[in-house]
Amino acid sequence: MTVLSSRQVLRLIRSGELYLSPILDPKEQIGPVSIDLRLGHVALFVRAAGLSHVDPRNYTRNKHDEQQKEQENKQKFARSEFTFGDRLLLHPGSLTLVPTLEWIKLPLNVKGVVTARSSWAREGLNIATANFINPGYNGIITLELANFGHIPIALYPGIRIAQIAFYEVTEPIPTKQSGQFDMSFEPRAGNIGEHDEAFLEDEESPDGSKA
Amino acid sequence: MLAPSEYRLQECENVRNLLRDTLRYAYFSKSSKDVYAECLDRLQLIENAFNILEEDNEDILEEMSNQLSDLSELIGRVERSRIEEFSWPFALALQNLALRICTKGQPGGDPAPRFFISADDELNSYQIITEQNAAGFISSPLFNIIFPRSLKNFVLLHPILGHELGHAAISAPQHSRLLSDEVLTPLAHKSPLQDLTRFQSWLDKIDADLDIDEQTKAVSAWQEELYCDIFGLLLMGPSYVGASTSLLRPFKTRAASDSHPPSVTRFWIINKVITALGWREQLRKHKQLRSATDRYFDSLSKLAANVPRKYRLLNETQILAAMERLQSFLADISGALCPMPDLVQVAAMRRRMLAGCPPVASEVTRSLKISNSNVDFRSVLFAGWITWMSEERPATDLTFIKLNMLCQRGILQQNAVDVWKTHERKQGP
Repeated sequence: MTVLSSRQVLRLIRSGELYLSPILDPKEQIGPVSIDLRLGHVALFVRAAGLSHVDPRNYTRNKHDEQQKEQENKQKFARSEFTFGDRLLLHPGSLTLVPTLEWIKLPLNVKGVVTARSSWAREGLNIATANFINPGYNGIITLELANFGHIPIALYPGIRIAQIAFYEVTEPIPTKQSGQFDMSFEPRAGNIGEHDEAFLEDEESPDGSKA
Repeated sequence: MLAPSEYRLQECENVRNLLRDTLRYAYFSKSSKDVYAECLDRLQLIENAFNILEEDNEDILEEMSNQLSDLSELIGRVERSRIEEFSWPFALALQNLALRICTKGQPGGDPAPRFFISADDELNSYQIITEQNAAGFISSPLFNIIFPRSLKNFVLLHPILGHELGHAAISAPQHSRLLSDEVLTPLAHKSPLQDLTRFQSWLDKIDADLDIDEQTKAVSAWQEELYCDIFGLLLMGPSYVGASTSLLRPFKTRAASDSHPPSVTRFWIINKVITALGWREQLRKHKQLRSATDRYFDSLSKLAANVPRKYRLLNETQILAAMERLQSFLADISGALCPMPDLVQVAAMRRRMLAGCPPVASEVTRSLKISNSNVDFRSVLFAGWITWMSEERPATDLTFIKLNMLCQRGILQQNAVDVWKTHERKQGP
């Protein structure tokens, strides 16, 4: 896997193989091997009162109960939208899911790696570890923001907050692994229990009731 | 028991608390302060009046109580104006247009209307509620643009608000006389809408069941509705065709009412205007857009061709006279008359959307320089409709909602580009 230079990335954009937009300030936004990403306009704040704890078993329990699944999903986050000029505050210890302003579509032989910008990291703003963007991905990128500092951090839609580097996958994946139009328009909660059901079965007590 | 004056002042306090509640949510940060201040001013005026008026001023007290009730209703709508409830990128673009139209030609010193945007639960509830600066009671008129909450992301249907902006324009004191004399009058001249007698004989032809009060109301209401369709077309451009036919077609057999003419009559008139404007011929010049453009306009022209003769309320002379006057009216307002979409730009936007990407994009030149074009939101919407009508679209997974969200995303990205370019201009070279 080799990292692509920004000039290579720009050529891919020009040929239409890769979509990355908008790029507002090429001079400052484009580095030798990375492009800065800006904060988008939606935030999903984790609600402390929404759930007592995160439990992957809930995902398997609610697998066939759409109403319960949806209810937990909706109540877990408070969703807010912001226009340019609005401010969102990230309090110490809190977690927020936000989209990038940029929309990205990757060809099948390129993957992206998103990391925090070091200047923000020094202020205590953490962006999820090793955010891999799979080849063929199409949509906004979800950033998981956490404030590791001791004072709240004000954030504004449009500010540069993360960066993405692109890597060529030496053996392109044969087909896109998810549907052709898995467009992601805004952050979504993940399914932490999916495909791990074997380890998440409810234990039954001797009288037949669930533990 | 509360004395009448105590009750009235308590009501003022309740409305003040409701107003404070509006601060619980942010909507458009730049305009919410103005709207809040206007409501607070009005409340203060009413409260002052209650404090100084004697109980024997019954008429004025009743009028002020009615004003308080209206204010409470208005604040209730502001309280529901949460940004999460409507498509703010579209609303922002529309608000800019609305402000230009409603402030153009205002006498110096007249306050500009304040806009606030809300979402209503009623399906299909596109509306703009306007108000006048009655007897100096209000500092700035408040205009409420209402989107149907259930259609939040359906920006391809939102161009119908161009029709509603027609109502807002004719209600503006500085435009009211001109639009009435120079657009509504020629529109109705020698038509069944010219007077009640002609209208009644036309109603007999279509067996409409309206009583005399409804007929009287309908004559002027229908004139304004038909003018608003022409206004909407000229303001929002070709995207108005898709929005209006999609929203009106389910009701095409709806009988005439005192507020709206039959939908089929509206199809007939919209099609006449489009034919006169020559949009179809111009837009089909681009090879890649030709078949989709034909299908797009065919959906309306086929509807219009099937409109029974008796429903063709206006003739070409009447329609064109109104259209031409409205064109020059809108041309005088910066950016109001929808420019003909750039065909190369539309083709590129269509290509991107068929690939599942937003229509607006930063482009890279041969020398690897980046440029961001200025794309009018109305062109994005037209490109969206053309994509929907494209032969290639069914082979993709591009559903109507996804297409709408891509268009909305395009308008949002353009908004970011505009913010950036404005900042660059301010900074200078």
